[in-house]
Amino acid sequence: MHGLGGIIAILDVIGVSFNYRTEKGVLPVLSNVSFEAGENQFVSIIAPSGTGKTTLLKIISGLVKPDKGKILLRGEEVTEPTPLISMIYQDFALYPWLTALQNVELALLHKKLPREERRRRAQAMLELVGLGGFEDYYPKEMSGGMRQRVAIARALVAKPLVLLMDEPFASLDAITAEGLRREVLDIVFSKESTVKSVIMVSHNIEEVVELSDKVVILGGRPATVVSQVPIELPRPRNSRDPVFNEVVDRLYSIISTTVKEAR
Amino acid sequence: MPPPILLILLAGLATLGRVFAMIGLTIVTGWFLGYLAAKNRTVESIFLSTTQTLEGVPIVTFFPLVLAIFLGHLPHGIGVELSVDFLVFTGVAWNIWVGQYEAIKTISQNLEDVANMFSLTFMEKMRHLYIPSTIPRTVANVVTSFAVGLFYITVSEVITVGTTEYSAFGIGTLIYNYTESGLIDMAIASLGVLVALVVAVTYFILYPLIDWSMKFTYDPLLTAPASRLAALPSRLRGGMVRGVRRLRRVLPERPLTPASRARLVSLNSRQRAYGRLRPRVPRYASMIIGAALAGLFMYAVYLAFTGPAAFSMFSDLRSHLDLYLYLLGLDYLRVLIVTVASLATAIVAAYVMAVKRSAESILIYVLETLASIPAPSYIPLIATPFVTAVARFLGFDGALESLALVTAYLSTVWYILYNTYIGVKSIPRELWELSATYRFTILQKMRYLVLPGAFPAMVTGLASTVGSTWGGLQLAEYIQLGNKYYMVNGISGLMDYYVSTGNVAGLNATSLLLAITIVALSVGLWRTLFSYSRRRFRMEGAFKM
Repeated sequence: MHGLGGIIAILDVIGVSFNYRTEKGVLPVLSNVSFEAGENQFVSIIAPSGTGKTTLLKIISGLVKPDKGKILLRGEEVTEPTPLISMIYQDFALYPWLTALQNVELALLHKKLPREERRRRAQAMLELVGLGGFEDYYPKEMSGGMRQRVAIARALVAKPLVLLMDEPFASLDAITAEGLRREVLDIVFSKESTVKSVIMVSHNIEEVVELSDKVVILGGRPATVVSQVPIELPRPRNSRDPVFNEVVDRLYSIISTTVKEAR
Repeated sequence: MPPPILLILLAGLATLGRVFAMIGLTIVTGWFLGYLAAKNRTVESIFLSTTQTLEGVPIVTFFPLVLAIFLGHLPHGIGVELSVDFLVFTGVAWNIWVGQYEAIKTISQNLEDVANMFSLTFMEKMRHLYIPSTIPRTVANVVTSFAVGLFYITVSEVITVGTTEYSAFGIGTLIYNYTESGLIDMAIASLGVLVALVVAVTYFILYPLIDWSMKFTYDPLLTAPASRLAALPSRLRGGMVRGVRRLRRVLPERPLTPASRARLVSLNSRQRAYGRLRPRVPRYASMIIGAALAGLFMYAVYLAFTGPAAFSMFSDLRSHLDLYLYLLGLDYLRVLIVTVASLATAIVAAYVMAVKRSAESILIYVLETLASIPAPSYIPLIATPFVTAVARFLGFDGALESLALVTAYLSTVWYILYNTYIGVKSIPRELWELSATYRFTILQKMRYLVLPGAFPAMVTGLASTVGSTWGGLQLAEYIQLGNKYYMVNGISGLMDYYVSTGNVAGLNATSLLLAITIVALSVGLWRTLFSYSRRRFRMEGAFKM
C-alpha cells in the first residue's frame, strides 16, 4: 500500500502491460502503466480512442489478466473477478430479460442470502438511485438515464470498494448526462455506499474536470501514462466558473502536447 | 374402445405430445450442447459440421438406422415408439440446436463479464444468462420445428416393412388406417381434428410464446418501441407505475403484429443469410464429419444385420448402380422443378405482400394457417380424386407424376415463401423510395431491387426446405391402396417400395447413395451459395421492417 500524501491507497495499478494476440501477430496495447487511487478519490483516465482504456479497466477488475504487472486492492493482488470491484458499462450491460430489481439482485447471488433479504437490499439500492417504483420494469421499458441508474444500483449493492466506470455517460443525451453526473458523486460516496475509490474512463474533458480528483492521461502505442494531473477545485464544481474553465483549458493543452510527444 | 371422436382427439393429442416431447428434449439438450460448442472450438467444429449435414438429410435416409436399431433389437412397443420419436427428433432438433448455439455464442461480452464479476456459479450463469439468451431463437425455431415435426410424424407413425406393419398410436396412424379401410369420412374428420389442433396450438400456444419471448431479446431490431413513460413527470410516473405493475404480472409482453412475429421467427434465417457463424468451419472439416457420419451409418447397418447383410448392400449397389443413378437423377430433376416453381410463387407473393399493405394483412394470416397444416396429413385423402381428375388430361402416369410434383411443391413452398417475404421486407425503405423516384418498372424493381435484396434469405429458405421436398417426394411417389401400389420412377418411390417389401439391402444401398449426394450438395452448393450471397448481396442498413 502506497502513501498519497496522507491519502490511503485503495487500489494500486503496478507496471501493467498487455498485448493483443491477433491473426496478424502480437499487438502491444498497454506498457508499464502505473497509478494509484486513494480513499474517497475519483480518478479519471483520459486517452485517445483505441488506446486500451477499456482493456485497462477489465484488467483492474480481474476479468482480463495482464501480461506483466499486477493490481493490488488494499495491498492484496487481484487475480480473478471480485464483487469488491464493480464495473459500470457504457451500454449499461443490463440483462434484458430481468426486471430492474432482478438485475440488481444478480450482484447479490454470490452471497447466498435469503431471497427476501436479497430483495430488500436490491430495493433499497434502487430507492437510493431514485428508481423507487420502477422495480418491475424491464430495461427496454426505461430511458437511458434510468437504465444507467439500475446499473449503478447493481454495482453498489455488491458493496464494492472500487467502482469502475467505462464511459458511463456516453450513451446518454447531454441533459440526462448532466443531471446524472451531478447525482453520481453524492450516490457513490453516500453513507449507504461502501465505495472508497472510483476509476472512470471518459472522453469528455469537462466531465472529467467536474468529477475527478486526479486525471491519468494515457498516450502512445502501446499506451503509457504520459501525465497525472491533480484537480484541486472545491466542490460542488460549476462548469460556468472561470476557474473551472481554466482547468479544462489547461488539461486540453496538457493532453494535446503530451499525446503529440508520446507519438 | 372409446367413441370415435374421442379416439381421434386422443390420437391428435398423442401426436402433438410426441412432437412437443421431442422439442422439449431438443431444447434441454441444446442448452448444454450449445454452451459447449460456443465455448470450445473442437466441440464447435464437430457440432456445426454435424448439424449442417444432418439438417439437409431427408428423413427417409434415417429409416435403415431405425430399422436396424429400434425395430430390430428392441421389444415391439418400445421399439416402435422410439422409432417414431427418433424420426421426429431428426426433424425438429438441428435448427433449434443451431439457434441455441448461435444465441450463446453471440451474447454480449459485457453481460458475461457482469456474471463473472459477481462470481455467479455455472448453474447460476445458465439460469440467469445463457438459457434466457437462447429463448427468442429457441421459440422462433420451435415454430418451424413444430411444422416440420408434424410433417414428419404423419409420415413416420406408420412404417410398413414387408408384411410387418409397425404403427404407433397417433393421428397419422389413424388417418392412414381410415384411408386404408375406405372410411374416408372418418379420415376427413381426423384431418379436421388435426387441423383444429394445429391451428389452436399455433394461435394459443406458439404465438403467445413468441410474444412472451420478446422480453428476452436484446437485439435492437426486434425490440418493441420503448415505452414513453420516461417522458412523463416523475410524480405521475410513480403513480402509473404502481397501477401498471399489478397488470404486468399477469399479462404477457405486448402482443406482436403478424409482421413483427414473422420478423422474430425469421431471425434464425436472417442470421444464417447474413451473418451466420457456421460457414467458418473449414470445408475439409465438414467433409471429414460427413464421411464419419456415413461410416457410422454403415457401421450401424453392419451391426444390425451382421456381415452378410452389409455385404448384400454393396452387392445390391453394384448390380443396380446404373438404375439407382438414373432414378436419383429423375428425382433431382423433380427437386429442381419444384424449387423453381416454389421460388416463382414466392417472389410474386412476397412482392405483392411487400408493396400492398392490404394484401399483406390478409395473406400473412392465410399463409401462416396453410403452412401450419402438414401436407402428409391431407395428401393421402386428395390423392385419389386428384389423380382421377388429372388423368383425364394427362393420362394415368402423367397424373401420378403431377401428384408427386404437387405434393413436393406443397411440402416446400411455405418456408421459401416466408423467407422470401422476410428478405423483400428487409430491403431498406430508402431503396424502395429511390426506385419510385426513378420510376422503375416492375421488371426493373425485380431485377435491381427485389431479387438481389431477397437473395440471401431465399438461399436460406431453399437450403432449409430441400429436406421437405424429399419428404414430399417420398410421400407421393409411391402410393399403396390395399394390395395395389402405384409409383412413378424415382429413387424416393423405390425406397418406399423397398421399405414396404422388406428389401433391406436395397433400402440401405439407396439411402447411402442419397445421403452421399445430399452431403455433397450441402458442402458444395449451399455453402458456396451462402458465402456468395453474403459477399455480394449484403445490404447496409437492412432488416428495417
